[in-house]
Amino acid sequence: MKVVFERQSLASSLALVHNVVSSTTTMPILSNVLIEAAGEEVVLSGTDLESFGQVRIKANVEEGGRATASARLLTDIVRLLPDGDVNLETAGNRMTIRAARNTYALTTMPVDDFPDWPKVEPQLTIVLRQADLKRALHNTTFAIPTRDPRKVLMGVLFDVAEGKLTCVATDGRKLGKSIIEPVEIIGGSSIQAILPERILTEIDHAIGEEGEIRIAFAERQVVFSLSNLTYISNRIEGTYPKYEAVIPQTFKRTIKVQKTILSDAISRAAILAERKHHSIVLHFTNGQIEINARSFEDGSYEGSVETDYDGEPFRIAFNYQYLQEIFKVAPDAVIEMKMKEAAAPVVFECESDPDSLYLIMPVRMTDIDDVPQPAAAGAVED
Amino acid sequence: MAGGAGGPAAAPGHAMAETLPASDPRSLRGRRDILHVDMDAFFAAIEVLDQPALAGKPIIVGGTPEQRGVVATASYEARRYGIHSAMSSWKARQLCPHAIFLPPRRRRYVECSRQVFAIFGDYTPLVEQVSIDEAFLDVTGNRRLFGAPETIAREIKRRIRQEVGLTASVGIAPNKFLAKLASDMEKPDGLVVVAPERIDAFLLGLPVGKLWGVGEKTRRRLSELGIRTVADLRNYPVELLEQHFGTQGLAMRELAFGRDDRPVVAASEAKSIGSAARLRAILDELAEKVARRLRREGLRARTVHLKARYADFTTVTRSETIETATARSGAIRDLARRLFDQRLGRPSLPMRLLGVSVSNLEPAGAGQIDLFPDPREQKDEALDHLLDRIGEKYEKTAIQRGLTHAAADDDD
Repeated sequence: MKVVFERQSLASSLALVHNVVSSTTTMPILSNVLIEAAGEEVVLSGTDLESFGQVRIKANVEEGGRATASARLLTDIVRLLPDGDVNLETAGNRMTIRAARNTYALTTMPVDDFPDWPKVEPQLTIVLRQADLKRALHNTTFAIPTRDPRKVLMGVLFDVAEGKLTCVATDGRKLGKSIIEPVEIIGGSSIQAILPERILTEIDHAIGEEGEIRIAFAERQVVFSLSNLTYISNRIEGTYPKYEAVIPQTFKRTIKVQKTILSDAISRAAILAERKHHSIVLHFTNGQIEINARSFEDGSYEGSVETDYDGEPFRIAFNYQYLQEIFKVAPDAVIEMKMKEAAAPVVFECESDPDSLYLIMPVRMTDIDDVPQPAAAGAVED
Repeated sequence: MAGGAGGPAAAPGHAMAETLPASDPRSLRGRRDILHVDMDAFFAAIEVLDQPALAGKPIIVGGTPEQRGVVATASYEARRYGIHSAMSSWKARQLCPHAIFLPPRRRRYVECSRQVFAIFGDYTPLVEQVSIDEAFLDVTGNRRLFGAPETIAREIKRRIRQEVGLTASVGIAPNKFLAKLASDMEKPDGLVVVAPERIDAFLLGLPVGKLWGVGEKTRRRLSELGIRTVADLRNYPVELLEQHFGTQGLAMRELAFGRDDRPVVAASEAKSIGSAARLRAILDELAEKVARRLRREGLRARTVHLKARYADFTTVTRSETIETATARSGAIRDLARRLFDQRLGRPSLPMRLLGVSVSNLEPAGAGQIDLFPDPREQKDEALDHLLDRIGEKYEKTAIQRGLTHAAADDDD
């Protein structure tokens, strides 16, 4: 094999494959990238057996062939080489990389040890605008829990039905939802698939504001295809909670809040938030929102911001962290906050993106949260 | 303990006569042949068996120093550094920094244990399981079938080596007490026979601490009375012994004469598993009690603590915190069981105290509301509520959920 690459394109392609290469060392071949050169194209592949990634790049192929080498070493090498041509050549089990006055010689591993690309039979395929998917991922992935015994929550639900794709993520206390109108739906009309956070992070890196992406759902896997890139990942098995049922359709109070002003006030209140649930209390009264925090150990905070609220007074408590997360994700300066009761889910919406919503479950208030401390205990001598 | 109270030894006038050989070797009447088989560094030996590269290395099976765990078994190589069971892993690493720490693989140990016990079963039905790696076998009267006790012992040792790949130490004696002492004499891979006529030679020089039931405290008290060896104990006036130690004193005296008439109880195999099961039943009961108390106080908890004190008085506490507070018996029981099964890491030591407690309390009505409440949470809450009400009305034992009893079945 003998190929001349342009350094920049090789570096960015390697980065895309490197992300799916295994970081464990139990199977050394999995830490390698497979390089296949034919015609005017070079294909780079990597896998950790959970997900597979493949990038195609244009290059000057002087002599076709296949080889594998350490993904980490190749990435490091190409990153530090000077811009310009990178010559890659293989002979026997050696790979030589030359650029300007630099020469690297690497050991390779047998190509036949590299796992086969999985055979996937899609049931349904959707084509999306990359910008739409990027927006949906932004509006949902924040709600994926960092750890949860409920495995189904560890990703984003892709729910295709009635010509639409709904993306949802939740940790059971906050939720993000975005609806996308696909460019095309092929081979079916509905599917529910939970896609793991890890592959979505990679996809998010790989997509931009232009172009389309094709997502093919198979029974156990999902295939993402971009013009020069293919990722395959296992789906998360299981049934996603019935999210539609928990999103209220009617509300008693709708309030427009200035995101930055309220967020700043909440940050101030948070210093003395109740420690167990990080809870603060919002008290909506005529023309203003009072923000109260009370830490039993340290003291209390009272503050207020102006609003156009003119309904009856209403109190509700939140984990301030969830509020701040939503303020961070929401794109607009003014956010609509829709509430029903103090113990019902609260919905947040932005005018600029009517197809997305965020939701938080409040903290239930008791008579100003008097929490007794003695621990109940039982013990026996055996 | 041997039930020596009220026996002939209690008669003061006979004290001197008792220094004669404890049993008459010429009479075979009432004579028993008891084997005590004790596997050598059982867990560590199994690890070496499964990973031969570990042979000859100091191995510690138990919790890691990082988890603040304790040593369950140390290989003989590790024991040379002064490491022993029940020592904290942290201390073990101080003593031997290059020791290899391995997590216990209980399933595998149980599997080996079953193989070993199956071999015992080929020689006598009278097998009393003391623990996962230790048993008494009564082979009295099996001479005609299998040969002398010593022949049986050699055969058992050979088969354990060949069929399981492990070594055991065996003590042979006329009773359990002496057999156990004997098995410990030449560890590892030992075989010690205490013939009736050699009981005195075997016993008299031993420190009293070797006697069953003589712990550190009793040993110190005996020492203050000038009793240091078994011989000292025999010569000490029995009435004074009884005065100082009560029935325990008489029991000690019986052992000092090499007398122990406790039978080998075959049913103890069930009893030994049963004791693990009993711990579980106790655990479930404690969890239930704590949950009930939470409900009575109108509270919920997010953290469950488990405290275990072992026979050697080392105490281990473990805790786990969940996202959503609960007062549900099932939830608290599951957490306590998980801590018990996965985080204690000392399967073989007997326990003397087990405790379940909760913290991170909040009023039952308060707290973060969940979008998708666990359906079990709602169903169980109704059941808990019902059981609580019945429990208030009638005796506490009136009704218990089925699992409290069923828990005994899911051992291992």
